[in-house]
Formats: sequence, structure tokens, C-alpha cells
Amino acid sequence: MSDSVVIGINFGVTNSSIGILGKNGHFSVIANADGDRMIPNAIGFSDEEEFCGSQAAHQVVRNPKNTLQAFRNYLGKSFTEISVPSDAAHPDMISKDGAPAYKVEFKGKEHIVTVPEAASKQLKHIHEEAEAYLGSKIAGAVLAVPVYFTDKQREELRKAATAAGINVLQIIQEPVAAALAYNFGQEVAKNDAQDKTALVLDMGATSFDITILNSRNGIYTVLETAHDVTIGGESFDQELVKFVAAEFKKKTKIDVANNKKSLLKIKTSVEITKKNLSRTPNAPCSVESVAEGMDYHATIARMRMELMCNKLYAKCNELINHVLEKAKITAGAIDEILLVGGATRMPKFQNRLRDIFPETLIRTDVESDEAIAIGCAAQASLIAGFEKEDIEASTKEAVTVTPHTVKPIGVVGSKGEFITIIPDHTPLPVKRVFEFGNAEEGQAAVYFALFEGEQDPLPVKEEKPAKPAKENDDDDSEEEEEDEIVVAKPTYHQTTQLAEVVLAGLPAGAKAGSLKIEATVQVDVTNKVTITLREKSSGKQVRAQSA
Amino acid sequence: MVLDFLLPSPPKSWSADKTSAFHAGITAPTKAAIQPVGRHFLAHARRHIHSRTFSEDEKHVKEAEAAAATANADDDAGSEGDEPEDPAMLKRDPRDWKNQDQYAVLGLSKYRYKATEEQIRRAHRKKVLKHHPDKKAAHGGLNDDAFFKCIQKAFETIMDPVKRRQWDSVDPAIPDDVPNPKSKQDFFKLYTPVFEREARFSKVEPVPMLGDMTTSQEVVESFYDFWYKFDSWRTFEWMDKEDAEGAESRDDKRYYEKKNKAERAKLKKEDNARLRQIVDQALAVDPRIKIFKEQAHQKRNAKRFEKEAAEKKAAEEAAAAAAAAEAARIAAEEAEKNAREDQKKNKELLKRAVRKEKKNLKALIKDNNYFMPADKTPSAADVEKQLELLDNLLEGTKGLDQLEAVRKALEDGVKNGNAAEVFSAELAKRS
Repeated sequence: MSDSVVIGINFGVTNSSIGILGKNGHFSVIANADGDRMIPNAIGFSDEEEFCGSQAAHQVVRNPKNTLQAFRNYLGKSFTEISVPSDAAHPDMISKDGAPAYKVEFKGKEHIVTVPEAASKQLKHIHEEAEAYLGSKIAGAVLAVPVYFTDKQREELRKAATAAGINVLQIIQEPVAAALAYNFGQEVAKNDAQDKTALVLDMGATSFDITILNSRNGIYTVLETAHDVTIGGESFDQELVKFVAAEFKKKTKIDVANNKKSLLKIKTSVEITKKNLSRTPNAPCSVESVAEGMDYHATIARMRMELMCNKLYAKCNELINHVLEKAKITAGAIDEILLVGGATRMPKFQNRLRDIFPETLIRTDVESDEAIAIGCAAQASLIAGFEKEDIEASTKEAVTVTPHTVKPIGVVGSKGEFITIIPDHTPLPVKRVFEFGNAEEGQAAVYFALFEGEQDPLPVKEEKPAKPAKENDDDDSEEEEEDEIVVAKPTYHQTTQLAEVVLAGLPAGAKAGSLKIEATVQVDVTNKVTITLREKSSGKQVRAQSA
Repeated sequence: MVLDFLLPSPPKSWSADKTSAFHAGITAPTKAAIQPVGRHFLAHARRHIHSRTFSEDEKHVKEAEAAAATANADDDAGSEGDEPEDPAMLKRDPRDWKNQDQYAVLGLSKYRYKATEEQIRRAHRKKVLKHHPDKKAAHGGLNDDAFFKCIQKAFETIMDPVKRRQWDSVDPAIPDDVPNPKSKQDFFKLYTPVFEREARFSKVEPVPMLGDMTTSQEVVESFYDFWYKFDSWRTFEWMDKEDAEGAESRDDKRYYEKKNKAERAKLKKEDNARLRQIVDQALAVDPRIKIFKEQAHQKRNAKRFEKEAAEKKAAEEAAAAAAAAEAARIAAEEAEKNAREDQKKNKELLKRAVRKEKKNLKALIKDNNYFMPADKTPSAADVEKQLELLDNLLEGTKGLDQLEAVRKALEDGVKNGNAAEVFSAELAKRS
């Protein structure tokens, strides 16, 4: 589709990225003119120029008062809702018509830049970068927002994007975009019930979002979500900054705890160190001229960083457990864990996940900080050929809000166990095809009974005694802390019998289990149940429909 | 999905005549949002919006895919050189390569002059892979390279632009015929392929095509203009009878060349005449040209036609007026004649009535003793005298009504017995 080039934009808090469909048919994230695939969301104003993206991020140390960052957090919010950091390292914020706005100095004059304007500027920059890279006009883009974004915030973002000259095809949710990028639950075998649940862990720079996502026949449903803005890549940076500042004080007797500029310098360096530590056990950290012309040079071990960030990791796991509890799902019910955001690359973070999910597949096959952009690009390319009205029609409530089954529907096995055919929370209409055998030799008729089930209560989680964190302990203590948690899939028991169907006149003389009986169970939007039994070799079938 | 689950026989209590029983509906579903993302959602939306079932949607998608596939199939390359090979062609003598069908040898019969260089290369490669003598020998066949030589010759010919033109000029697989001018077939059906075929010889590109009934006059005219000035690259070197290159001496060569040249010129002339004939014929039977001519004629003579029409109208009006006058005249004459006849008749009637009255009066005088006194028998002389008097009276009385009055008076006199007095009074009054 060369005539309609579409892109996916991950417009994050700290960084943005652009996903495209490459000529080779693979989705990839493109770099901006400065060579960064993660384009910092920053706008800088100086005496001469206005900067966007990487260049703005580079000048933040010199010009923190006139550099706007993290403006997405304020999008669609009123001035009273936000907490304004007012110090030397942040631009001044004022209220303009109740909405937050930045007061900056540009070319020697004072300017007021509203948050949507800032977002629009940044999006325009991204759009231009993408057009420059692709060398063609961009027909449209799909953007992603966090699950907790309100309609107002979405609308603000859409407006800002439109003001930036972007034709917004659709705004989708970040974890869903990530799931698309990971192709989670999309390979649906025909007539096969695919019921998969994923835990999407999105650790961005300033927030940690957890989403439990369900995929039934490739259709996603968000089951539960939670987010914590106190955990994120930057909180790990802060731990490192504290550490480096303390080390620096130890070496030079200079206290930089209140020196914002020094701290900013350290932060820029430790960010690189942190990233390196994800790959190597030791990484150098060097900050030139931290304060009073003194440099800091050291090597930081991964272990050391993990020790100082132990509390943060624990917090992550707490939040995950909290979400699972809220969703009434056991850890075993999670089929895949999708990692999103650069911070999830930390080996310790992934190790700690194993505490909760000893067996679950942790997907790392997509670059975690590019997953959302790629997912957006994938969605964009799916809907690229559509008319705008069609896209809008398909995202209307009538289509996106559908009736879902409340209880699982299934059959009862020979030992009285419940075998789920249509799980609970399945969007209607639904059609499932299953194959059964015949039980006895020479059986003339088969009997099929359909039941509705009820979930058994979840196994009670054993409360582990909270151990006091021992930061100065040696390494092995970490391993001992890990408890063995029994992971169980939720089980169900039968409750109500829904229907009975008998298929008679089976071919005679078939051995037990040799006949293949195909049962099709359909539930339409009006709750009407249709059961079709068909013997495969003779083609004999019976069809029954509820009133 | 195959479940490890065996279906039992129906329970004993199950009555044989029913096949199904429904006991309860499913628990009322809750509304929940699904994420509008991914192809499976698109399928869901499609089903929902068009309210299709699963199988209907599958059918629609398959149809759409099939349509897309057939659309792509047309530009699908790679089938060149796959034509079935004529066994007679495989046995050709490579020395007779000039007379072989160069395209058929390479398996490009359906492309012919339209074959691109890329297609030719691909076809040649395929043929070589199949017919290379080494390959044949490897398969235990004879080391027979005759057809391989044919292939190479054909490839050489077609890849050389000059030779290819020479071959294309005389390609026997493409007819040279002139359509039958008396053909009743649809003009466009008949001539479009002819012009398409002839267009390949044009030195000028693009060549205008015949078009259809809706083509504008300008385009049609430029079409015929182009074809009358058609600049053809068609050459007839391929048909040379004498091989000038193989001549023994310079004189021989010159002689042969001259002969060939004359022959080519003749053929070229014939070909030009042939094309001219096609265009002439087409122009003659082109229904559009007829329409255009008609229109032009109409336009050119518009004034004259108008005038003629006006004259015609005036003449018609005059004729109508004359006819009306004539009719009026005839009617008047008729009326006159009738009136005259009536008058005549009346006169006659009057005369007759007068005569009758006179007769009555005479009878009256005769019956009443000639109006003499009753006691007196009238003598012949008296009778004569009385009749003379009556004649005088009758002469004196003019018109029927006076006669009638006289008669009545006399009749009254007869009744009253004083007829003689009345008679003499009347006589005195009328004379």
C-alpha cells in the first residue's frame, strides 16, 4: 500500500517512538534525524531557537527553566488537578483558563505555551521526522494512550494531533497495542477456542502500568488494570543518583544533595549506566565536573544496583499481586507476560517476576520499548485502506460493547469434572466446534448434555512471613527469599443443565472412541443456544436450537 | 479442537422420539467492552455491522480474496514458455530456421510482437533448460540438438531489434486480410481488432484507436487523419528470395540486391495499398462518419432548409385558401340554383292555383244561373254576356289572393241569394 503510508505513534510521557511497516513486511521503529529511536518528549526554548525532541533533551541541563517535559501527564487535566513542581529544574507553570500552561522565555520574551500546544508541537515534530524518513506524505497514524486515560484526555490528544497535521485513524490503548506487537493470541486456529490471558507489564520512565488482557478468538478484552506513577525507569535512576551522590560525597566531601544541576548531570550519566547494567554485570559510570570541578568515575556492579533498588522490585511485585487479586485470577491463569518499556529489560525485574510466575512464558521477542509503536503501526496498516467513517463506525459502542457470557458453558466428563467449552466473559456471538468420541462399542446413539458452570473458589494464597529487607546481606539470601508458590488454573464445577441433545442412528459396529462426533455450540447475541451434533464419517447430524 | 471426552449413550429415561431438550437459558450476559484492535476485531465488527453469521462472513472474505487474487493474476508473470510444444515443430530442420515460427519455438505464441524482452529471456531460459543437448543426453536420449539450434536461432532473431522487426513484419500467424466491405457484422467489432493489429507497425506512438459510438468528432477525424498518414516501419527483407550476401561476385551481389530491393519495394507498395484500402473501407462504412456528415449537412444548409420550409408552408397555406374559396363558390351556386328552382316551382303552383280559382269561379257562375236573377232563364246571349263579364272580372283581378277573395264574395253571394248583386259589385270594383 504505497499510496497510503500509515504510521503508529507511541506518544509516551518521556519518550515517543514511530512505528512503520517496512518494505520487507516487518514492522520497525524508525530513528529520528538525531539517530534516536526513542525520541525524547521535550521542547526547549532558547534565546535563538526552539528545539524539539532529542535536541531539546540535550540542552535540558543548561536550560531547565525553558524546557518542557512530561507534558503528556497534564493533558486534559485542569490546573487544580495537577501538582506543579516548582523549582529551578522545572519550568514555571500557570493556570490559563483553568488549564495548565507553561511560562517560558523565548527569544528574550515571555511566552505562554499551553499543554495541548506543547503536545501538538511535539507530535508535529514526530510527524515531520517520520515524513522525512519515509520520504512521502503520511496518510494517517494510530496513537496509543494508557488504559487509565479518560475520554477527555483522549479527545485532547486527538485535537493536539490534528492540530499537528496528523490524520488520526484511531487511538488505541497501550497494552493492547503491545499485545498486537507481540501478536498475542492472534494466531487463531479455525474452530479452535483460543482463550489466552496475558499480563502486560509496562514500565515506562515514570510509571508502571499493569494490565491483564484477555484474548478470545483474537479479540482483546481488558480484564483489570492498575498503574503506579511512583515506579518507573526514573525511580531506579533516582536510587542510582542517590548512590552516586553519596559516593561522591564520600570521596570529595562535597554534598550535592541540594545542587539540582549536579543531580541532573549525575542523572544523565546513571541512566546510561543503568541501561548498560541490563546487559553487563558491571558498567562504568562517569560524571564530569559534578560540582566544584570534581569528576566522578566509578564502576557500578549490577548486584549493587539490584540491592539498592530492592524495594522498588518488591513494589512491582506487590502491584502485580494486587492486580491479580483484583481480577480474581491466579498466577497460573496467565499464559503470557508481555514486557513493555525499557525498564522491563532489567534482569532483576524479570527474575523477580519468576517469584510470582515460575512457569509462565515471558515474552521478550519484541524490543520492549518499541512494542507499543509497533502495535500502533500494525493496527494502522490493518485499517489503512478503510474510510474514516468505517473506522469510526467500527469503534462505536454498539460494536465495541458486546454482551459477554457470565458463566462458563461446558460439558461434564466421566469423572464429574467440568470441561469448559465456552469460557466466562466470552463476547457474544460465539461459535465453538469440538470433537468428541463415542463411549462404547456398537453405540447407536450419543447423548450430549450442556451445562453452565461456576468457578471454584481460588486456592487460598499462603501468606508468607514478611522478611526484613537485609540490604547488607550477601547475594545468596536473595535466592532464599523466593518462595515456592503453587500455581493453579482456576477450576469450575457444573451448576445448571442447559440442554440435552441426542444423535441417533450412528453407523453400527464402530469401536469405542473411533467415531468422531463434531459438536458445534453457538450462542448468539440474544442468548439463543444452538447445538449441532454431526457424525463425521456418515455425515449424519442433528441440530437443536433453544427457544 | 478434539476433546478427550467420550459421549455416552442416552440415559434410559430418554424417550426415543425426541432429539433435544432445553432446560434453562444461559445466565443473562453482562455488557463489557472489547478492544477495537486487531484483525479478529475487524472480523467481529464486520459481522456485527453487516449482521452476518460466522460462515457468511467467511464466505464474504473468501470471495473478496478470490476477487483480489484474480485481479492480481492478470499481471502474474512467469507463464511464458509453458505452452505445449507441437511435435512437428520439435522435428524441424534447424537449417530451415527462416521459416520457423520464431515465437512458437520459444513458447511465446500468445504474446508474439507484444512479448517484452524480459519475457523473451525467461522463455528462452526455460526452453534451454528443457532442450539443451546435455540435458537430453543425461536423460538417456539421443544427442539431438536440432531443436536446441532452432531455439537459439529464434532467440537470436527476436533479441535483435532489427531482425525482430523484419520477422514481425511478415509474421504469418497474424493475418493481413482486409475485412469484407459488405460484411454485416458490427463495425466496431469488425474493425477494432484490425486497427489494433495494424497499429504495431506504426513508427509514431501512441497510435489512436477506433473508439466507439460515443467518440467525439474531433477524435474520430484525427483518427482517420492519423491512419491516412500512417508511417509504417514494416519491411520485407525477410522475404528476400536471393541471398545477396552469399553471392560469388560483386556483380552478382549487386544484381541480387537490386532484385531484392525491387521486390521489397513492390511488397511495401502493396502493403501500403492494403492499409489504405482498410482505412478507406472503414471510413466508408463508419456509422459515426455518416452521422457527422448528416450533422454537417444539416448545419451547412440550415438557412436554405428554413427558407424552403417557409415557402412550402406559404404554398400550402395558399392552396388551402383557394380550396376554401372554391368550396364557397360552389355552395353559393348551389344555393342560387335551388332558389331559382323554388321560384319556378312556386310560379307554377301559383299559376295552377290561379287557373284552379278561375275554373272554380267559372263553375260557380255556371252553377248559379250565371248570376242572373233566379227566375230568369239565361239566354245564350245572356250567358255570353255574363261569361264576358266574368272574363273581364278575372282579368281585373290580379293574383291568387284577389281571386280567392272574389270567389269567397261570390260564394257568400250565392249563399245569400244576392250573387248577382255581388257579382256586379265585384265587377265594378275590379274592372
